[in-house]
Order: sequence, then structure tokens, then C-alpha cells
Amino acid sequence: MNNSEKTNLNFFEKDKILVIYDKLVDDNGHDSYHLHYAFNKHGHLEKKALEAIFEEYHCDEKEDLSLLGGFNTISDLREYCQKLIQHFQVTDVVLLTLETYNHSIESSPDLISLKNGLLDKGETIKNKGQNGARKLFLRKFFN
Amino acid sequence: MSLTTPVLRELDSIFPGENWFFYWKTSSSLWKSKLEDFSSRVVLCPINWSIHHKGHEDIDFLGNNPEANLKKLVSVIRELGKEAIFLLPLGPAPFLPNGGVPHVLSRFPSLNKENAIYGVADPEGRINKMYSFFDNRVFLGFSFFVSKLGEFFYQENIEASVYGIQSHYLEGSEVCDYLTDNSRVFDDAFGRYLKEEGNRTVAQNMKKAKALNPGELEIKAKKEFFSSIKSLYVSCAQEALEGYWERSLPYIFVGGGHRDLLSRAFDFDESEIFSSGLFESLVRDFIPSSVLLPEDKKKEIIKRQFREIVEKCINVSVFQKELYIDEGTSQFLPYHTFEFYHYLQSEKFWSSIGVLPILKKQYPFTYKICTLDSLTFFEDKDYSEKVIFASGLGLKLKGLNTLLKIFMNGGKVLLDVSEMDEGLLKKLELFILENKLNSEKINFKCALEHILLGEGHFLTFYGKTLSPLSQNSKNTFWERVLNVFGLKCLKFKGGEDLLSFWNKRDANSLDLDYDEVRRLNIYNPTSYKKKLKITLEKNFSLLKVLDQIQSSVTTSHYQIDVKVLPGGSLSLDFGVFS
Repeated sequence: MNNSEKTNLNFFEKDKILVIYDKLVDDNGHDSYHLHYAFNKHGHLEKKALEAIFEEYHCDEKEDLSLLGGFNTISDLREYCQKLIQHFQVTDVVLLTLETYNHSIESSPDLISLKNGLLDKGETIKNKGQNGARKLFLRKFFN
Repeated sequence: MSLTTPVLRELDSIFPGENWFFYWKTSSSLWKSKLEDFSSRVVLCPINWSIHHKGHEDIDFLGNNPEANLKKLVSVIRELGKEAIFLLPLGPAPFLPNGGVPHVLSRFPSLNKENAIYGVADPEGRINKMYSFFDNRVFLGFSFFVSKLGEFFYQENIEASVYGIQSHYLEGSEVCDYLTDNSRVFDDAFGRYLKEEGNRTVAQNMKKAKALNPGELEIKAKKEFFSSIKSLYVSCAQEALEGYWERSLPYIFVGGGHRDLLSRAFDFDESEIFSSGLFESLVRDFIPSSVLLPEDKKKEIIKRQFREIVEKCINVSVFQKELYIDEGTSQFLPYHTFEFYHYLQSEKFWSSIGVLPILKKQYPFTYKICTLDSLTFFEDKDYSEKVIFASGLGLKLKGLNTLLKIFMNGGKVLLDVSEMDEGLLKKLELFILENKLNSEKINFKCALEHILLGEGHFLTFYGKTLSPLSQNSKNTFWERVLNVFGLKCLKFKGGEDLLSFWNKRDANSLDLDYDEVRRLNIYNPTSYKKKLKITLEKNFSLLKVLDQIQSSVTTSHYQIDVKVLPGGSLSLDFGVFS
């Protein structure tokens, strides 16, 4: 196993989700935060699951399915990430801005550099509740 | 996740797929030996602008850099009894560093509509970034390059044709154009476009409309600007290459999206996505390409699909059939029964009225989805087996006339008149009256008007009435409608997630009394065993089962049962008679 494969394994060993998001500003100056990509060690997270969690959270239907979300604040997005943690039973969600993603692509000559560039950055959202952690443990223990 | 680093074979890098030859990736002294074992008669050579660009207004085609010697390349290919066809990228080329733009001109990375930089992984794991083709310097550089290319072809009497490539990728089920640019470069170019005298009224309308409909007119104007620049690159190449120019071709590069970049970086297994990408490309009337996929990601079934469908069928129909086919032989060419025309090339509308879900279930991959702009009547085409769906929204007089020609030549035309222009509706009514055609009006789920003329059927319906109904109601509606036409099309039952492709050839002397022979290729890209039942209609006869891999077929009088294991595939030949 080479170093990049070890890095990949280490990152996802801890059951993380990596989320790339963007902040948009509409004509009235209102911010909104949108998800672009979300994936864990197994691959990209299913859009249907992400949408279902979003609808449960937001109770609105979104027409533009390619930009999941429409969170008014970054706190809302972080709350959504807590739901992702519970639903997908992971320990953390790492939030990366589109700007960081773009910068990583620009500065990476190849896939290995890109991956390492993405893994090093971002804001880590940890599982908030002790109860959440306990339930997670019990779920895993009895499965 | 692989535990060893895959070794790229040199041949895979030079011949990335579908008979393409990356001539710059190997020494020119080895071109002959590399091409000797190349099985196809036609060698498709994408032109790499960068390697021919030496400096300001200095273009090399004759070999200051030996790998840039196109004259030698064509000569070597012809010496081997093969034909050279050049593919000229008319925008960003995802398979080339910097999207094909020479380094000195690559200043501004282009952004997709979500403001992400285009990064595309090539088979070797390098990331190609795309640069804006709305940069004036890039356009001037390109037009100079193609003018020199044209001069070179004429002066050296090069015996080769040139096709343009317009590059796209799939993001989910959406087709995206690499030429799309959401960066400041595009905005600046758009601003200059609005300042031009002929376009000032557009700018004035935008200012007036802003209070009422913010952004809508601007979006429309930007789309028109985008289309005009895209056409400009095409016409630039066409004028420069005149007698050598054939036409431009829309390609979808499987594995070329942003999601794919992340999948490659984190080594996710997306082989099912690649497989379905090929078939989604065909349905949308694009040529699929696997040249971005590394060898280790091309599972055996993907290789088979690209070989059987793209190399042996699509390429033949696209690139001058006479080069592939010897006289006296008949060749399998792509075949589909249904065609959908809408002002947007989108599945959404056809799914909302319920026709696409039923076709996907019962007649999968027998259709293609196109824009209204591409609706054309061909004199030599047999329309008796074609079913044309068209949306009245955005339909112009020229489109209506084309639909009527298709109808008068035996085609089955279904026109959604919900949002059709009133003037056009009147013209249609006038056509029916003037030609004394009998029309039947009924109300079944929605208002229908049916006109019959020989083998031709013309049916108008109201899609807006259908949309709110349940899928079951829509299924009943469409089953009854399609029954009217007496289609020569085999119905499927089951086999979800199987991928299939139809092609057909004319009957030859060995085919007894059949009018034509149709071949159905079936593939299972999933990890599960799949079963499929095909109802054998009265005009069809199963001739043979071939190329069976991990699959089995049992037949009864009216039905064919197919079982395909994971990674399996097979082909079925059917004789079709009247």
C-alpha cells in the first residue's frame, strides 16, 4: 500500500463525510448555502437520501436538484450536517467551500495531489449529542 | 479500493479507445509499427493544437517537432491501407492538457454554471484544466491556427477529412457543455457583445425589463450570445478547411464530470455509472467516448460495450460508411424507433406526460431525445417505422412543415398542442381542410385528434391535461395510443438495470424473406443476476443468439427468456418481415 492509499484509508477509517458547498448571494443581497458534492468512503452519497434529509429538515421542495440545499445561514448548513451524521452513522462531516475545492484543482497537477489537498482542509463538524454518540455505539454494537 | 498502483500500458495511452490515435504520445518514427496492428481501417486523429503551436503566429505541421508532422502521419496511415480522419476540437478538449489551449494562451480558467473550475482527470491521473474560449486571445489564436491548418492541407494536398468535436460531459443525467463559462471572462465578453451596435436594443430591453422580470431577459440574451460564439468557432473552422470539412460532432466524454473527478481522486468504483453514461449519451444523440477512462476502470463489460456499439456501429454510421463497408455487404447501423423533440433537450417534459417512463420499461433505449432545432426531414429515410414526438412549445412554422412531411411519408407523429402558438394551430387546421383529410376527435384522458394518410398517422394531444394524472392512467393512455400504430417493436418485461442497444441492417441474399435484420445487444453492468422476457411479436423471428458471455436464452413460441449474470452480455438477431 502506498502513502496516498494509507491517507485515504486513514481519513475514511473514522467514518467521515466530505461535503463541498458554495455560498450564493441573490439580487437582494441574501445569502444561501448550497451543497455540491457529498461522499464517504463508499462513494458519493445518494442524492435521494440527501434530498429526503433536506426535505425533512426544510419542508420545502427544491426544483434545482443539482444544487441541493438553500440554507439561509452557515449554522443551518451545520445543523443539516448533524442530520447527515445521524443518518449515515458517521463521526464527522468535513465542510469544504467551493473556493477551497477550486483552489485545490488549480494547484493540483494530478489526482493524488488533489485528494491530499482536499483532505487537509475544511471545517470539521463533530457529532453534537452524547446521546447521539451513545445511540451510535449501541447501533453498531448490536448490528 | 485497489492496493497496488496500476501500471499504464503505453499502447493504452496512444490508443485510448474507439479507434482514436494520440499521435503526439509516441515518437513519429514508431507511428508505422504502432499502427500496423491497429485493427480498424479508419484512424481517428484528434488534432492537438498545443503541440503545433510554436510561438506567436508560428504553427508547425511539417515536423520541426517530428510528432507534429501531419503530412507524415497521413502518409504512414495510407501506406498501411488505412484512412486518416482528423478530429478538430471546437472548444475545450478534456483529453488534452489545458483543454487543448496552448500554454501561452491559457490565462483564465473557465467555470461551470455552479462556479466550479473544470478539472478533468486523464487516464494517467493528471488533471486537465479547461480555459475560457470566450477570451478574445484564445479565439484569435484558434482562428489563426485553423487558417494555417487549412492552408497546410491545401498546399500539401493532404488526403484526409476533418470533423469538428464539441465536447460535453454528463453530470447525473444532465448533459453539460465544456464550453460553458460562468467566469468574469464570459461576462466581459458578453458586455462587449451588448455594446455592439446591432445588439444595443437587447441591452435596452434588459434595462427596461429588470424592474419586472429580473434576470430572465439577461439569461435569454446570454444563451443567445453563448450559441453565437459556439457557432462562430464552427464557422471559423468550416471556412478555413472548406473542402476538407465534413461537419461538427457532439461528443460526451464518459467520466469527464466533476463528480467523476472526485470519484477518480478517491478511487470509487463507478463502473455502472460509466456503462449507463454510454447509453445516456446515445439516447441524447451524442457520440460517447471512453478516452478519459483509465484501463483499470474499463471493466471487461465496458470495453465490450464501447467496442460493439461505438467502434463497430456508431463510428461506421458517422464517419463515411463507404470507408468501413465493402461493396455488397450490409452493415449493422444504430436503430431507434422513437424520437422526441422539445425546445430543451430534456427528459423532464416527456417524463411528466408519462410517455418516457413507459418506453423505458417496455421499449428501453429505443428512443433518442433531441432539440426542436435538429428536427429535419430526410428524403431518403424510411419513416414508416418511426414515431416522432414533438412539443408545440417553441415549435416554429419550419418545424411544423417538417412534421407534416414526415407524416405524409408514412411517419407516426404525435404533437403536444398544449402550448403551441395559435397561429400555428390555425395553419395545421388549414392543412387538414385543404388536403381534405379525415380527422377523428376523441376525448380519452385528454382531447385527441387523429389524422390518417396511408401509413402516416398525425395525432395531436394536450400534454398539460395528462401531466397531473397518475402514472397508471398515463400508462393506459400511452399503451392505447401506441397500439394504434401497429409498431414493429419488441416489448420487454423485467430486466430493470439491463442496458440494451438496437441496430439493424438490410436483408441480404442469405436472409430469405426478411425485410431487414435487427440486432439487440444486451448488457448487465450490475453485480446481480438479471432476467428479462421479450415478447416475440408476429413480424419478428429469432434468427440466432451470438456473443454470449455469462448469459442464457430459452425460447418458447411467443417469448424469449433471457438470463444475464453480472458482467454478462449477449446479442440476439431478429428477422423482421411484413
